[in-house]
Amino acid sequence: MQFDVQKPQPGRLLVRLEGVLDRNAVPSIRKKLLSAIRKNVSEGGVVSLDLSRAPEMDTAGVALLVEALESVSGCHSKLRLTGLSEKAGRLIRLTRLEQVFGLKDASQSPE
Amino acid sequence: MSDSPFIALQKLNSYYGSRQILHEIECTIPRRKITVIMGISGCGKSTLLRHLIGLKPTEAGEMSIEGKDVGTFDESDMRAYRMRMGVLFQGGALFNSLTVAQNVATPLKVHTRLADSTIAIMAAIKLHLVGLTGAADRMPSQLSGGMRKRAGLARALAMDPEILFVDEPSSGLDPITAAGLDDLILELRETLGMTIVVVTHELESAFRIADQMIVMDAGKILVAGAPEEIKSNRDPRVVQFLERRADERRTEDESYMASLLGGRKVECEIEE
Ligand SMILES: Nc1ncnc2c1ncn2[C@@H]1O[C@H](COP(=O)(O)OP(=O)(O)OP(=O)(O)O)[C@@H](O)[C@H]1O
Ligand SMILES: [Mg+2]
Repeated sequence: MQFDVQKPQPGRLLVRLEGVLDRNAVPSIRKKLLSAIRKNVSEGGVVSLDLSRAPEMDTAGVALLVEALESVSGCHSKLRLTGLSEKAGRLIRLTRLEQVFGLKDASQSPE
Repeated sequence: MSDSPFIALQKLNSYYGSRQILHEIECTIPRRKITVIMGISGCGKSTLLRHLIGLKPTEAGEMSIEGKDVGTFDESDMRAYRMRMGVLFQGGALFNSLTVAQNVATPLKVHTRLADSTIAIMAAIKLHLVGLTGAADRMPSQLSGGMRKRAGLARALAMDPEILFVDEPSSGLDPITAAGLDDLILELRETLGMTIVVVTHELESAFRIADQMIVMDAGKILVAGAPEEIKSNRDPRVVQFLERRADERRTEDESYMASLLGGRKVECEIEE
């Protein structure tokens, strides 16, 4: 599991995660990820978490996303999830966090 | 590989001491499906479950997991298997000195290097799934029987298991909460593709959730198959089980009489 951080424009932070976001991987990146977000996020800005290269996650991954959300909203910024796989989306809906992450209605997911 | 069963049993015999409990059990637990094990009290359901979770040892050749004979498992194979499963025991089996949330967090604390705050969020997620968000800080002794069951299920789900075993999840629950639990079990299979084994007495719940059913009787498999096959089975013992004309009572009466009469059989007629 790894990630990189970019600042494409002022007030915007782009974090790309790559790998499996599960209970084995989360401990190794958590601190670095959360502090990178805290350090680089700007008041009232937007943090995008690009998950297109992290299609697999478990609830440890979901919990890490919740922690990321907490550190972002502490700075009155917004968190946006992009590139969410269908599978990860289903997990987030199962955990009833779709509203928290601003996902679309569950009825729109296939099946 | 994805079509091969998760677990296969071949002629499994099981004993407590010299007493044989299970006789030549042959069945498979398919992946990503819900298997329901049914049968009257004492027929050996929980014993079968104990074998499936590796708590009761099996002889070589009797049980395989993903094609590998459990008889050849060493300790680390067994540990690896346990890490992939979640278990809800019949009694719930919570740690009485820990709060509900701490109970759910325990497997994660023991088996992972996750930070406490991550674990707390994961525990809260699992408690929310079983509808116990409000009870997170209570002690098990302050819960009703049904709440204890649900807390046990939340703990069984703590590690995001690939395979979930639940023994009597809905006993002691009111019908609405029980139906909610059925929905959760169905959702776990649908959204996560979890392999699930449920032991239950509740026929209605069984037919609601099962992809496959195993009906046991006196330590043997009476019949196994899809719910429709079980429903249309004409074996009198299956029909009787489904119609609830339990002869539990009759055999019990017989052994009761035997115990009163020191094992002597008596025939008696009542004269009009
Ligand atoms: N630890 C044990 N030691 C000795 N005998 C046992 C033990 N556990 C169960 N048995 C016996 O094995 C038989 C099967 O028990 P088991 O618990 O598997 O039944 P069950 O189908 O789960 O019943 P229930 O529906 O009441 O839970 C019973 O006759 C029981 O008395
Ligand atoms: Mg039992």
